[in-house]
Amino acid sequence: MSGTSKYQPTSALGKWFHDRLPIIAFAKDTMVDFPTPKNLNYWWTFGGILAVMLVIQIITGIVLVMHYTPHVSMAFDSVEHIMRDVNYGWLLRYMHFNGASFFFIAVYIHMFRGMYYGSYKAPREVL
Amino acid sequence: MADTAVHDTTNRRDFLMIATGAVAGVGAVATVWPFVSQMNPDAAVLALASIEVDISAIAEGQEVVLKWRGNPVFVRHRSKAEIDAAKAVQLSDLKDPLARNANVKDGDEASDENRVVGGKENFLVMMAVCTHLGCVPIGNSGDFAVVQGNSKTGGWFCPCHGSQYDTAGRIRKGPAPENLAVPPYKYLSDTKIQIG
Repeated sequence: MSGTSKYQPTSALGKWFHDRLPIIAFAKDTMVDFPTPKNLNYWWTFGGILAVMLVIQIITGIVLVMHYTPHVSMAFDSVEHIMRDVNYGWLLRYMHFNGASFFFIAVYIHMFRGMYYGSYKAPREVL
Repeated sequence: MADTAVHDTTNRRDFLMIATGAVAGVGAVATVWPFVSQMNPDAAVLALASIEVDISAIAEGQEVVLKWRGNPVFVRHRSKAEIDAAKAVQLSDLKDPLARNANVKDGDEASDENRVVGGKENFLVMMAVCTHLGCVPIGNSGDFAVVQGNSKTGGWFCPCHGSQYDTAGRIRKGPAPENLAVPPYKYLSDTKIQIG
């Protein structure tokens, strides 16, 4: 990010690490000390919501595929197995199922917000 | 947070911080719980909670591997030489002194009687899962088998990391920490056992 970082390593180890790989400063500057306009409203929360949704979809998807059988004559039974037999399989599948729909809803709101408030204007054309 | 750390009494902010942390902790556990729980044996596996085995079909010196709750189980009809070899072992020589038998009390010693049910030492029933990292040990092999001529009987050897079990399935050598576990089982008749 442009501008000076507010990150000051306190320990000797933190300083040593920061001199070589300033990844903690990067994380702090973009997630904690990120300068934002005062007039942001709740429409701007959908970017963060989408980030969380994406992580949820990836984690539940990886878990579900471990119980799923991608075969034309076994797929249905394996989904029934997830819903009835696997511990909390119903919860994981419903999270993934509804998460996919809500992901689209959040994406459209996020895009609408970007267009409505002109988030594409200079100097943010490529963000 | 650093500038609020020094004060004499607990104040409102301390309470709010701890309360927030507690709620976050409960939320984290509730989130992780389903993801860990889904790895446990599922309802379809637990529905096969018990199996019946006709042990009259197992000849002396023969060993069968059965599946119980998704894991392999050894049922071995031991010869007298194997039982004698297991009985001859001093308990002080055992790496794991506990019986690891679901059918006896938790702290019982790993004598040969305590490795079976009802003193019926002919039949040894135990999980075929090495207590080190879960491989299936190979029967009739290892340093603690009974040697008869050119062949070995009894004794188990784990091919993964070299754990060796004696003729009662007790760990004697190698990295495994515990004796092979004996699952809960009972005799329905002289020739039939129920595991689970």
